[in-house]
Amino acid sequence: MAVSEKRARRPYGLFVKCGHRVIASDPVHAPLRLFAPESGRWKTKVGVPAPATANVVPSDQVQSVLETWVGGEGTLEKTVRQLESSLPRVSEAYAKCVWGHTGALPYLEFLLEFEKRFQRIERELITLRSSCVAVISTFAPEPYDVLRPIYATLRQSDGEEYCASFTDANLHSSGDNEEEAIDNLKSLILDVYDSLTCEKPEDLGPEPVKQLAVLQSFLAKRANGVHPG
Amino acid sequence: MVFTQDDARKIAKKLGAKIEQGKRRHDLAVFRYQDKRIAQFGIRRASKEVGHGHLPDELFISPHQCRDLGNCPLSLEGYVAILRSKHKILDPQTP
Repeated sequence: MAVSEKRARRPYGLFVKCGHRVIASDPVHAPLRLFAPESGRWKTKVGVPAPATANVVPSDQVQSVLETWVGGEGTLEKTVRQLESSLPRVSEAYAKCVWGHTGALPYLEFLLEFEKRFQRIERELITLRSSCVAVISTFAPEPYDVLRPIYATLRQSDGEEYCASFTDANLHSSGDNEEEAIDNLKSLILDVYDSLTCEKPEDLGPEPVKQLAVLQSFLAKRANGVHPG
Repeated sequence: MVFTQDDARKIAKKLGAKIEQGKRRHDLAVFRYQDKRIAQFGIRRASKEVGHGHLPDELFISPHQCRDLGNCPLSLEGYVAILRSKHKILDPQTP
């Protein structure tokens, strides 16, 4: 890959080239732009400053920010993949800049800024992914009453699977999608509840005692064993 | 680190956990030590391989220790020692 410098048609612009392709521009003098390899075109011109309250930004807003930063389209995952695929080439450009290419300083500044933005996006995504919560408010048609809503955390694990957790009771289950993971967790909660309530209290160790206490504060089996309606 | 229902059953066997047939979608592996119920974990009934990445949490150990437990380096005694150190198993009170 050749790192070269050329003047843009506009009065600003230093570009990093990969072969005949320009893969990044210099934000010191120009707004951030990245090359989208699949379309072969520039898609965005505007560099957007990182949101100050990244951990409360909804995913659609993060996607919007990502799309503006990277010029991606479609899903968040696609945008992230674009960003990841861009990074090695940018790093290569970075390495060549370090070895004394003429006019390397603006590239270095750009690349360091790029790296910071990438790390910031990673942190935002981890925060967003780990903060997804589902509320369990019913076990219908099972004959159990929910005494107060159960907040289950949902996270994607192992690439394709989703894991739902009721952390207070240390109960976890997984599924192919969010809905299945929650359904499996509900099923497990009832199975464990039934199993623990059948035990004599003196047969329970410290953790099952705690689990049973937590479960009894969140749900109760209906006395007649029938779900209304 | 990926765990499947096969890993879960292997660990249950190693711990001598009793498998209770749940009424719904899971079997429940119940681990007892000195007649006390110490831990349990759900094993999903599925024909295909399904993830059980939550096993370490339910067994109160790290993913690495969980892998060792399934693949032999960590013995039952070793596991019990870990649980004791975390106060998940209480020492019998001496008179």
